[in-house]
Amino acid sequence: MRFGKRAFITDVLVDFWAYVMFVLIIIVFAILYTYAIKAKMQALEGAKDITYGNYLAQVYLRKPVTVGNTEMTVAELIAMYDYNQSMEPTESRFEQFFASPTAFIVGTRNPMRDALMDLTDNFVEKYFDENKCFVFSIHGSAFDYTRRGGGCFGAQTFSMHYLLAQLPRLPNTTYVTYVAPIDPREDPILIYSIYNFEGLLAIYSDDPYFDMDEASKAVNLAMCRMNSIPLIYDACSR
Amino acid sequence: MPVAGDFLRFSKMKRNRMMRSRKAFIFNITIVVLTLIILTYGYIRLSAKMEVKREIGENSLELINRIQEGEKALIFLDTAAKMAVYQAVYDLQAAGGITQTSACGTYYGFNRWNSESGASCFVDSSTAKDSLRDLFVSNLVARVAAYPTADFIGNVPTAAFARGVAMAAAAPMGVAAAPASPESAGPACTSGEDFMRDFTYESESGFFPPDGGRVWVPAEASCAGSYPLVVYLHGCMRQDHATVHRNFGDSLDTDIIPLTKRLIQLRQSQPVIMAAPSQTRGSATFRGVADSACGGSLWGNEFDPARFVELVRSNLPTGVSISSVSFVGHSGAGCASSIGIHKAARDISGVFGVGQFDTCANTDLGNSLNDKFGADTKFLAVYSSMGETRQEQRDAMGLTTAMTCPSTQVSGGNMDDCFSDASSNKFAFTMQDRTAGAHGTALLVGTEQFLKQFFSPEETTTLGDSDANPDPSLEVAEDVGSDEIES
Repeated sequence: MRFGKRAFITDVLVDFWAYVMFVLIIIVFAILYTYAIKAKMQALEGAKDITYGNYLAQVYLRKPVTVGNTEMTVAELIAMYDYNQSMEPTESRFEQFFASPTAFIVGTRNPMRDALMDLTDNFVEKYFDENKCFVFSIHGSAFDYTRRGGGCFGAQTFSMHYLLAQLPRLPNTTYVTYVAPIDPREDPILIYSIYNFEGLLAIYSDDPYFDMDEASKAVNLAMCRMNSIPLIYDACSR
Repeated sequence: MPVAGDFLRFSKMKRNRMMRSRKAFIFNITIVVLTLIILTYGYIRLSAKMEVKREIGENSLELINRIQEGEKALIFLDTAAKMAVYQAVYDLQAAGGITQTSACGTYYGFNRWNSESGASCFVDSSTAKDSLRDLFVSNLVARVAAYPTADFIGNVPTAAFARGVAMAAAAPMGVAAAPASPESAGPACTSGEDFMRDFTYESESGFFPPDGGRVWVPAEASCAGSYPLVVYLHGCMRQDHATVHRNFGDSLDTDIIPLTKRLIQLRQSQPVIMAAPSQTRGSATFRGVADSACGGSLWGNEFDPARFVELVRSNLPTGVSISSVSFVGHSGAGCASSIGIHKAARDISGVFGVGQFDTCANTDLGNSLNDKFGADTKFLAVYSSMGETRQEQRDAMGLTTAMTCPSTQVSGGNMDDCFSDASSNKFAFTMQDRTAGAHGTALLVGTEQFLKQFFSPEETTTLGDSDANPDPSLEVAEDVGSDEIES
């Protein structure tokens, strides 16, 4: 079977556009697949970071530590330190707040505090990624400790405990570990360990434009308006 | 190279043939269309998997999260257990090595190891060990009860549960624990059905029949929550009259369940869990019949009140738990200081209340209860035919403040001789009818007064509440004979 000259030209043209279409299709789908995989990988990364944050909290709380001549776990040290701080008379705690807000929040110097703070600082610096939006916070009945990653919260000072309370959609099982207090009348001590806050929000928050810094300002403002004790010492000046 | 040359020639020939072929004409277009279809289909399928939290890895993530929840709970439990041990050791030394009141009495709240008469009450290592275990469990329960995402309580095998709940309101390091409070009961349900389940209190003695234990949860307590438990111990039982659940669901006139149900419905009592063991045999001779349950064999050494409470707890509906434990006994269940309600008061740490309904009463039994009670332990006695020496017991227990007798809805149950102690925690009422026929009525009156007095809803007046509507279901035949109600 033979083709004429016109048929030959048509055949070449069809071949040409077929090649062009093939290349275009490959390019378009390569872009689409890349985007889809990236979104999926981000979600998987966020889920992995949630697990990792919880794992770090467990490693931290089970870490053995020697205070004086006594061996204990960090969880026990936290419980004892919290109880120790709660023994401060209320009057002196008020005076302490106005004299030294930092001491009011994290406690006055003592061997327990030194051991706890050094240990926690070292742990956070070693295992958390400063480039990520991490949170590691301890909320006891008588003291607070918080370390945050620098990339997502700006310079705003706020209490992670109150901020997280503003985010009801985040299930606290994804980032909270509880430690038993010495005094059974007190609430359990909360350990917040979030390895990647942005990943957590990406999975659980319905608001993709959630602004952490604005939220923290709102928390501080609400606390000031409540005329409560300004736990964050510079909150009301902003 | 001949091989390469042959291959090029072959390729050229083949291409020329294809270009001329009709099949070759549609080949390229087909390839493009197929590629488009395959990639589009693949993208659609992939897009459906983009929600990782809902599709890919959802089960795996859930599994990992569950494991981590377990690890978190273990961390909490480890810490709580260690704190509980420290606290239990402290509590034990503060209590002088025992959880009960020393037989030598107390000195400013501390147990004495010797008395002024020269008697010694040193604590042996076995008692101290048992006390430490009870205190540890109580302290542990008090702590783990606060854990928000796991139910440790349902798995704690302890009879000291009531004390554990009370400890939750206690200060640490030796400050006296608050008593268990019926106010911890959950909200009353507005729907649901009464729950009743039988179970076996196993014992090699053979004193306790199969399915002789019974627990009853009113519909008003079927919602998840903690409710007071009242354990009823029946009186002496002849071996040849042996029945299970005597006076508790056995449809006798003195069945206390309809009465309890009615009091709850009338809001004269909070919803309470009722439970009762049955003892149908024993080593005693009662009314001429050997191997009967009476005297020292009735609720004696073979009966462990703590184990029974544990069994009750394991047979409760899901979500229902016990906020406090009380024991009430009728007739022979209180006629010796080592059995029945006396044994329960001794063995149940932090027992909330004890009811004594027409049992034996004398100075020794009064002293026995005094020694076993804490400062806030509730006590209510109703005397009838067995209360000839009731005044001895009242005096021994300091129940010397005369009071107006409360009203009763039980037919024939009116009282005329009523006393309380200075703290209004303990009461002793005597019925007008002190004949043998009123012995069974005393059980109903005692149950009624015990529930109204100690488990009354806040808005309901208890004592002196004389205008309540009598209810026919509460009436009891006045001529109940000894064959129906054994003493």
